[in-house]
Amino acid sequence: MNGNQLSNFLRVADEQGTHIYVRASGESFLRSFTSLIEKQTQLAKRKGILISTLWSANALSRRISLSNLPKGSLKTIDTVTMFIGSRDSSHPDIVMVPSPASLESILIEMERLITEDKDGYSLLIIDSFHTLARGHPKGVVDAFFKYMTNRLLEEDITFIIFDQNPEPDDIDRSIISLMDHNLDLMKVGQ
Amino acid sequence: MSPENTDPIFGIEKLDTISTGRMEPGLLGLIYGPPGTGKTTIGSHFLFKGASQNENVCLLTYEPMTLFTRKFQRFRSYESSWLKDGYISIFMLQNLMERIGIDPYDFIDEDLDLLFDVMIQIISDMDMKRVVIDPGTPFIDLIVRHDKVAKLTDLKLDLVRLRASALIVYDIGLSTGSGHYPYHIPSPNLFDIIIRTDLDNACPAPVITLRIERWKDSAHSRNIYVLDTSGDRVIMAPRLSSPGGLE
Repeated sequence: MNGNQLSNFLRVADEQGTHIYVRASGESFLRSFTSLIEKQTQLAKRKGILISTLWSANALSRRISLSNLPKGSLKTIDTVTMFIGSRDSSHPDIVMVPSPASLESILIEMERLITEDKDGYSLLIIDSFHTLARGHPKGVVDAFFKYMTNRLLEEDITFIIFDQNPEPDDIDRSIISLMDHNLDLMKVGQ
Repeated sequence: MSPENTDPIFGIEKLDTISTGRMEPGLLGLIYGPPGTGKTTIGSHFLFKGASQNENVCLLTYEPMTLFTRKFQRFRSYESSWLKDGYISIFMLQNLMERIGIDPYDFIDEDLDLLFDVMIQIISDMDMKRVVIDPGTPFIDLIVRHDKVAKLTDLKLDLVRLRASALIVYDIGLSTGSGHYPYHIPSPNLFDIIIRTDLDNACPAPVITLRIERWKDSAHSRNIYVLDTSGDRVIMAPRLSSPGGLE
């Protein structure tokens, strides 16, 4: 990933209500992910929801300085802490669900957040599409994303899905077909 | 449903949306399922919706009043003034039976007639527009045991006459019979609405599910939904693996 790709991604993410699929892994993922969150919450002053499937809330705060983000700017649906039996974070901006496989619990928590603060959230990020999709039949994953994309479009919320899978498979392609932008940050110079 | 009635029934956004049903006087509904699956919460919201429109509503129950008032207070759509101002009334069926001289342990056919008459009298005298019987299990069991299913038809006619609606909450865990619908309710067609709640011990997280089994004159959704009543609002989302769902 070069600087142009990153700035292009961050620019596209500024568009209100846009849906973006981002293929990125390793350093390109970490840079784009943290830059996105910091820019959107600190500079653009947007309120976002992060569905964290890779890191527990405590681990995540080592990646991003959660405490440095404006208070209430990023609600994290933490799918990892309960799954690995990690130390509970009592941070008010963290909501826990049992595991990344609990797709319905994730939908319930997302619904709770966006209906609780109807005009508040304008951004939803999933850090790893494949961690969520793993182990579920294609139909279930499709239903999950169909519901999400519809609800987020209805509420005019920007939707950003990161994926670390280097080559798109069937499930990826069906999700990508629902998105406005498909960015590949793994390929240098794109 | 008559076109002039456009009020949602439950005041639970998603449930009202998937039902497409609107409030109609004389509506008789049944919510059934095992304990702890959100039946009382849905029944409570049915009452809240009425009280929020300045209607008189009442709860007929066998359980202590404080159990309900404590539960009511958990929900943001509830206002405590509704109880104080008399929009919501709670009647203990046990007390009611004692007062009219019915021995619940020696119940005869005539007692059931009397109990129905008193209930209708309350609805009529206090101009109740919405009634919830929760738990309605002993009530339904009595009707079935005394072979008085026709009483539900009479109740429905009285509700139409009084422009009121009623919801019976049937806990299959409390049933003294087989515990399985429709054993106890031989005529589901008597109900305008039938909602089934259930507990699915799915891995990794058990979920409460909801399905509308019947909604008269309404093109309701027949999908299964996930129900969450743990917070101060009822949240619903689609059951992802349900056949005929979004998948």
